[in-house]
Amino acid sequence: MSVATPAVRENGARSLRLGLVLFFTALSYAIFYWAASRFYYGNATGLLADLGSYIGNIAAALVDFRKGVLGWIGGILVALANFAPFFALVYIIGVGLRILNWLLLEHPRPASPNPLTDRHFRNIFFELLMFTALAVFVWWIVGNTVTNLQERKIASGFDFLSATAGFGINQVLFIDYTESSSYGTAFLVGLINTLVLSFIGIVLATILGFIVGIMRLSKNWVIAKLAAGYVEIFRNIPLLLQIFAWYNVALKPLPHPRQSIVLFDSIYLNNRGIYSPKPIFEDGWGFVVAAFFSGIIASIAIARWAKKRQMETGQPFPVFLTSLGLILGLPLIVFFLTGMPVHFDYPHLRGFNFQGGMRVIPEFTAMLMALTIYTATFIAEIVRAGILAVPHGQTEAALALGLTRGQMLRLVIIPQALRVIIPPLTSQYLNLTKNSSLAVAIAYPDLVAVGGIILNQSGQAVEIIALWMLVYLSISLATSAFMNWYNAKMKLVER
Amino acid sequence: MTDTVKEHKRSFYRTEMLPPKPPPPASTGVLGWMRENLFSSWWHTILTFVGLYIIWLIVSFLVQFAIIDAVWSGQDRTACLADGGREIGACWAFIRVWHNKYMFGFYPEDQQWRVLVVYAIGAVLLAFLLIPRAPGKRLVMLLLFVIYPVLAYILLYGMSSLGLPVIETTRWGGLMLTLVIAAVGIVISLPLGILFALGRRSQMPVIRFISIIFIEFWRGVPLITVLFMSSVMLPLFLPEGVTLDKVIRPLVGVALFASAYMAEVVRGGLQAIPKGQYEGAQALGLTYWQMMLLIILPQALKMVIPGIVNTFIGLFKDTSLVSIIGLFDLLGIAQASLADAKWATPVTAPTVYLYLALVYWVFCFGMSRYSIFMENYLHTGHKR
Repeated sequence: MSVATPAVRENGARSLRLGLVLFFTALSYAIFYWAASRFYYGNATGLLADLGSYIGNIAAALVDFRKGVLGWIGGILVALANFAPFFALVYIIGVGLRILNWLLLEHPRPASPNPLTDRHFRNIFFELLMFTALAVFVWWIVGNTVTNLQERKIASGFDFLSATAGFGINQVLFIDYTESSSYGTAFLVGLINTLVLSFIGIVLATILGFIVGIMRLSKNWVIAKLAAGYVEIFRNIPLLLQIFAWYNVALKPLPHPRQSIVLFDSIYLNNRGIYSPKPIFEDGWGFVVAAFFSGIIASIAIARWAKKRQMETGQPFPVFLTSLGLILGLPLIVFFLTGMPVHFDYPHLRGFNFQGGMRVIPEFTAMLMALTIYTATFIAEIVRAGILAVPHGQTEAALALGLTRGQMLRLVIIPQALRVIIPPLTSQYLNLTKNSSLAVAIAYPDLVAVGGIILNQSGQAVEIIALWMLVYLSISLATSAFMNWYNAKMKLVER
Repeated sequence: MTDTVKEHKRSFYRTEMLPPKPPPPASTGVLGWMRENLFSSWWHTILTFVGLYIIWLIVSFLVQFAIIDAVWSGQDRTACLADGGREIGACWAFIRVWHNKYMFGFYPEDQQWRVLVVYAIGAVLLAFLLIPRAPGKRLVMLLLFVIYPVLAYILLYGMSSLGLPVIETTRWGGLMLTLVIAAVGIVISLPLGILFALGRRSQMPVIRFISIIFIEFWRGVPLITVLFMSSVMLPLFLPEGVTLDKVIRPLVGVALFASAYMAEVVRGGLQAIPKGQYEGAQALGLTYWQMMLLIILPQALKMVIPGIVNTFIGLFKDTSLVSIIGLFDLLGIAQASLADAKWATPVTAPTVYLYLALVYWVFCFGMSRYSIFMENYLHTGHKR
């Protein structure tokens, strides 16, 4: 009779644990295979056959360079859109990688004789359980969806994007769109409208937010309270209500085109929108644009040179004024030299409506007003918090060094406040972009509104919603990537 | 002697006292305060008057519109139409006619006491939970998060065996529906958010990965697309023959959406707990859940109460979006009421929006004040 030494017992426990882990891995794969066959494929060999042809297709796309890089990327995208085998691969490879990771890092650790009290075993068991349960759930959902779609005779896939849209859009920018254009083009128009609205909204909300945030810090009691009142009122009213209010109270009751309100003899306000003169560019305008961009490039170069010189000799250089002159003055001179190559197309009343000119639809104005006013309240609070976060000692030290008030703000306070302000500010920009989707409520043709029309016409709910999610997720992820880069760049360099 | 006196007289310094200067301008009292805060320079004086003028414009307009020119009673639109040259302000008569619908939707009037009972119980429980010094927090939490939802469901939906006729959710509406959606969102999103926050900080890579995907997905898409998804795609996800109630669908979307935001708030709190707390708990031999429930979460949640309340405020405001997918919450039913031809006047829409703004504002502002109060209350330990 031999007595087991601790080392032998330890080895026995580890073998037991390893055996259990491998057993549960195999069990997970088996359950996954069962769920795929039961809920999605409906037969026992479907998953294997699908996976085989899928891997074959990806391999073919990878080696097929004849179509060039674009064809290559396209092939991979098509492979990604083929959901079921893609999902199966993710699961199989995911579990495999995790088990490999476990074998390398956690298996060598000491094991407890009772697997139930062994942390490393419990962890991997729980993970396999959760992941497999989730996978079974996904198969169930996907299977149900496919069955339901077949029931309703809706063909899945993105082929419908090339079908004729057949509906008009009242704001089309940058690209051509008519009723005979495709759904895909309509979707693109919606995307452009979303981006335009978000961009202008972000610019205006930033300006208003900074002004109000600084007003709230004013030592003038009336001004500070005015700003505080604005923030507290508009922050606490739902954005959708504000959109409805601007649209139905401020813009709808404007007079008919014939009784338009006229500003500066050329801008007309009525219930169809805001009509203003449209600049028409003639030959030679290209020189003005070129002058503008060369002004910008020259300014950047001068700013770099001036900074370098100041670092070396301490001599300051009036960078701001020079840049202003280069960026605004140079194009202006070229503009006059080329004989003012621009004229205006004025809107004029014909029948019951205006012709010509530039039209801003009331839906856009309402969205812009509501988004700007709502988001600016949040930006104001961020700006206030950011400026308050700069310790008072910084102000005192700057003044003690003999900086003027302007220099102190520009060189000491604002750079430090920006470090606090920018991250939440970016998330507000993101919020504004996402909130622009409320445009659907007043039928401003943004991504969601146009998508909604396509959804109703074609019934391709899954595809449309997937496209929405894809677009917004890309915007969000791009923004957070920028944020990470910025944070890394601006981080205080410490020892 | 005379020489020195003469010299003295020719000297540059004074030989007699100056008259005393007038006292400096008061820096205390009303006048001093005004000088300091309103008229510190000519520039600030101008700003003060411009600001006062703006405030005067807004306040006088609102008073004129909402009180002086307002119409308080009437049977139809003629009451709120300008006739005989009288300027017409807010049409409160319209709100009075529709008020019951705004509060309860199409809930039958003889059963509305059930909603009021739910409100009352909820208010009492909430008061016990929210007042820091009130006793029995744990019991109240249990009641509020476990018993109360069941009770509220039975009361609101009805149960024939108890003599409460069933009221279909299609008849729910108005402020009541808004509060139901917000409350369900809050009750589900808090525990779910805590779970996902723990998952995101878990040692287990698969759990962490799933949590990150979940959180970033919901945070990356707008709520309105989530609502479309829950109302259009959720029925597709379920097996044939299973239908989901029209009110439950957006509830699922709202709850998941809010959970992701809640998870990020809670994660902030978890990250702020010093490592020593985790190590101390582990050294005492506590299990993971004992450590989390007894040591980490109580501290972390306390730290992020303002963030949690802010998420609730956002959730409450966001409930208004369900009106876009055809539910008659407070905003939805108000939009529907604007189509009432019997009351079509130019002042109807402004009145309704003013009223709605007031209702939403009271709720949100109340919550934000409470969050500031809690922040100060809990912050005492760190304040000098």
